[in-house]
Amino acid sequence: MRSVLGTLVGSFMLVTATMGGPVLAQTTPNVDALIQRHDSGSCKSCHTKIHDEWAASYHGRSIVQSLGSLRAFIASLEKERKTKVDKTQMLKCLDCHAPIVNEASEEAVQEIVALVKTAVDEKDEGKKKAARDKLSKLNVNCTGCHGVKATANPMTPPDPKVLYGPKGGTAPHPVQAQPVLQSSVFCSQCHALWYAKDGEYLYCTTIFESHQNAYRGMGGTQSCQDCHMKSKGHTFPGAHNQALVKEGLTLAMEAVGYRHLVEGKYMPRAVITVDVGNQAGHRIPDG
Amino acid sequence: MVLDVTAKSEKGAKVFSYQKVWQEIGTDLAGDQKVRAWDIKNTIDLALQPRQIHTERLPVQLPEGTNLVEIEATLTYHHRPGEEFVVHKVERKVVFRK
Repeated sequence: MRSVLGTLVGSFMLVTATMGGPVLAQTTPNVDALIQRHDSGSCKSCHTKIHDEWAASYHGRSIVQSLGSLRAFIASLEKERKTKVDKTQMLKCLDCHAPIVNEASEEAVQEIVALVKTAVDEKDEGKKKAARDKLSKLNVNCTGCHGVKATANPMTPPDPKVLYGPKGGTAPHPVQAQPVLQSSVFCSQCHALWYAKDGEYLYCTTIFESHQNAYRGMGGTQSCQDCHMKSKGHTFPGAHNQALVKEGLTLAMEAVGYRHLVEGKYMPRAVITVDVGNQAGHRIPDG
Repeated sequence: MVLDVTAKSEKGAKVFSYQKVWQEIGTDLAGDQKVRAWDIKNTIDLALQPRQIHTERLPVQLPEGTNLVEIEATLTYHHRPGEEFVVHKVERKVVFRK
């Protein structure tokens, strides 16, 4: 009975984890206040190594890396869907590309929309750079994972005063243990099919579905963190990292030659057998 | 991700080539999205599945007079345009007895 209950709870977490993001107080009035409240620089003095790893990661530039797609999404809302560009719509991108925006007011979200337009469309290079620089401070940062997304369950939203770690401990700020941070379920909040609050679901990435249904279904036991954090921590090496890609793929070849009788002549023939193996915890390629 | 298999004769002439591409869902090899993310409700999975080995068995007819071929299999990963890299390369030599 206990294991059945555990399975039900686990299944519930999987279903709810990607539904529309965490429920948080939406009081941060503008972008400057949002950046100030979630400034990863304040984490650096104690967590220098982790901060520097993260700063070099794709997580650390998750907005500026995707400005073109963000601008295209806004344009599609305005021109094709003729839908109001509001927080519900923008969280379809920003819940994962800048989780801290869950705490933003509607006014702050409108400021972000204007910044994205300026960063992409503006002819004045100075204004363009200023918008881009400001947006670069919104990304998947320390509090995005260890605060906003930390519980991986919208039914138990995080305490905004607490920072969550896999093991808890003591620190100058309130800390609480949240073991789900070490689980693939935690990553599934963004690296999976994503359900928006208005019922739409987005297929931007489906890697978790492959991990859960194919890799684990075939007997795989490693978590996302086991491979993507084991050697380089918070740099989260992925498809851009040659060493990790080499580790995940195998290539073998055998070949045999023979002569085949064709119209009285023994012609050269060969049979080549090539085996390409995927040892990663998900399909390749995927994102 | 691309698998290229080529065979060259002892004179260096290419006598066989084959290519297989594994693509990310909804994108082309250059990484350009070919369908809108919110429009993909049905899709085809062209990726290499986890914990699976894909086998390509290639029967090759070679020109008369070929006594030796050098076969090369190369697996290349295309992360994004300009960021392609060779993951693995394997070579084999096949000699044809008279």
